[in-house]
Amino acid sequence: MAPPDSVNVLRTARNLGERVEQDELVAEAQAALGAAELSPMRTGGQKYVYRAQLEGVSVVVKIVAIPETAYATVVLERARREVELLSTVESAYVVRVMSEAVEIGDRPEAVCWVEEMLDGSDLGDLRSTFPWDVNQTWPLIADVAQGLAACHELDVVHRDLSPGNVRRRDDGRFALMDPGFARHLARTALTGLYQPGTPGYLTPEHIPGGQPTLASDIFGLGILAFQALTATLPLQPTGDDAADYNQLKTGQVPPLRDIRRDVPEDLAAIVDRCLQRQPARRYLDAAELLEDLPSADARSASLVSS
Amino acid sequence: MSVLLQDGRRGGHLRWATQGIQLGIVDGVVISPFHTPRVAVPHHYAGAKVASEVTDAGGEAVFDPTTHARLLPSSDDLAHYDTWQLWGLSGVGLDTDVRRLEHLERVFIRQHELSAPSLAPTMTLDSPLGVEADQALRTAHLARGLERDCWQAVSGRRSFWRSGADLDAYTGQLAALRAPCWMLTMVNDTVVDNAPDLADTDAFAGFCRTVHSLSQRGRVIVCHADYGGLPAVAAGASDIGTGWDRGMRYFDPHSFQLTSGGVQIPASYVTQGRLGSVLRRDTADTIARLDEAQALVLRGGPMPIDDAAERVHHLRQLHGLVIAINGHGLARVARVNELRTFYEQAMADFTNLLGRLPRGSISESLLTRWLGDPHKVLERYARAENLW
Repeated sequence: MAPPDSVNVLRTARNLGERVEQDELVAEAQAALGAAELSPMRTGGQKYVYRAQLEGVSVVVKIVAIPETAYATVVLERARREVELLSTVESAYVVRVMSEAVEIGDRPEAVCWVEEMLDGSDLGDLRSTFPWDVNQTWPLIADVAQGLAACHELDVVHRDLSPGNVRRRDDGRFALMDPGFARHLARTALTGLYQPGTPGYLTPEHIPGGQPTLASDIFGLGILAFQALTATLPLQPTGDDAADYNQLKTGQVPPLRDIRRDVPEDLAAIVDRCLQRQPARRYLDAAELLEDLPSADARSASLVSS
Repeated sequence: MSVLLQDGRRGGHLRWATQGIQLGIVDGVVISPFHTPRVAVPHHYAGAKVASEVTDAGGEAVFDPTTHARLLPSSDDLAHYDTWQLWGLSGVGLDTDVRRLEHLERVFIRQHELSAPSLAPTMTLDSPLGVEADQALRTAHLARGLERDCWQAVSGRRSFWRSGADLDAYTGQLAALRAPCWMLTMVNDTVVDNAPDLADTDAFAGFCRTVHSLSQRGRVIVCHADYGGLPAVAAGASDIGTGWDRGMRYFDPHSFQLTSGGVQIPASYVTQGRLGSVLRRDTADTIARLDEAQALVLRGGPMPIDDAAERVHHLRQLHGLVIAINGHGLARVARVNELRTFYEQAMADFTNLLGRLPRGSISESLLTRWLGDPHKVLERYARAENLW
């Protein structure tokens, strides 16, 4: 085994190499997209996200590095799908894509594209403000459901609803982002495949061999609403995959009002239904959920009476 | 809706069915290509005549392609079946899109010809996981693509309905089809006698749980069920499939085989409505000799003088029970309570009879088969749903 200082030297060298590669990708993406003034916002896995300027407008540039492995095709396809989906969906509640997916390099080494810059904060950055009031949570459910409905209308499952993929705009509206794992049901083989997702935000259909349905996104939205209202996850991940999968497969989330009594019954009933273990017992898609949501006036009335 | 007659080969089937409709104790007929030919042959009317006479009498005519029986390896009684020409040049099976589409299109055309609702075919499943489950789901999706509002069917052996969370996940995928009507079948490997076999509590509770889920958005028909389907009715099914013979009351693979020895005409039985049971006529006579007044109450009517009268009596008793449960609408606690009360009263009456009748005239196992096991199924399902 190498001594610790050698490990650090190796790690530094690798980081430096990655940074040089990343800088090259950024330069190529900048040229390919016609964007300027790229400054890093965040990095996640193989995806680099930059703030940039495009013809005087603030935008987001996303670059997905394609690994030199057998996994390359999957990563490339996922990036293309994200752009294709975003360009197809038309909704004020889903982030808008402003370019096509542009491939960089011959292999290719990366794919990049431009999205609109959304003001506000990711739900992930707002977790410290949980638990939310009821009047903060209704718009979360209604707006994300609107965004999902735009996807579901095209038979597309988002598959990765998590706080990092939902943004609260400065005007209070919520928008859906990063459908990088989205799957078009009609174009999908029906055999079981591993489902991606974020620990704590997985659905019963995320277990290995599970099949995503539109109702899976409903469960995902239920998790977000439950967490916003209680500051806890409905099913806490243990770190043991087998135990977590079993819990997802067989466990039922406790009723919301068992944890927070002051939530109005209509809101609790909607969140509880979203979190039904059996997909047939949930709303089958976002349109069905939206039909069941009370109007803004009724929500206010429910707030007053509670 | 409440009671539908499954198809059968008894010569009087159509006449008895239309009489039942006119008496208000039958709501319709499920036509099967195995038992009704497309082209009339001696002693068997053509499917179109059956459908039109049923609808003329005020009933509902459903054409079930019965593909879940056709694809059983043992099914070889195809004399009537083949007259319907339900398969294309690519052959019999639901294992490729070409075969699926050819079959679906032919099935839907035949159903249109009969003015029957479009009902998609399915296959009998052992598990909600694996290739066959995927094929059945793919078939259902294609059917919906061809006819958005078509009815759908689910057919499985006990292992399928017993598969817990995997079944629920599969049901979720089916529910996404939003079919206006579901026809569910519990496939038996073998049927040995005239009494229901609900001993596999987990399987039947899973069946009920699925009925509960699917009935939230659509009508559910429990096929080949008779009295054994009552827990599913409590769980939300609106209709029950029954008939004159064993092969109509239970899904019996022998009904589709040449080696079945023909129609299984039952020995003479008498339905005991209040006992939720069908007992042999000699037992019914013994009960009557013991206490004629009580026998009248237990039967739910006068002693049927012959099998024709028993057919009407059986349907009237079953119909009354289904109507009583359906009277609670989708109030599931009330539905469950209605049947629970019935079972508990019936078990008390049956137990009382066991103590009073001469030894050997009635078996305790019949109490288990007709009431004890179904009651356990109801309880298992209802407790899991917090309805007990």
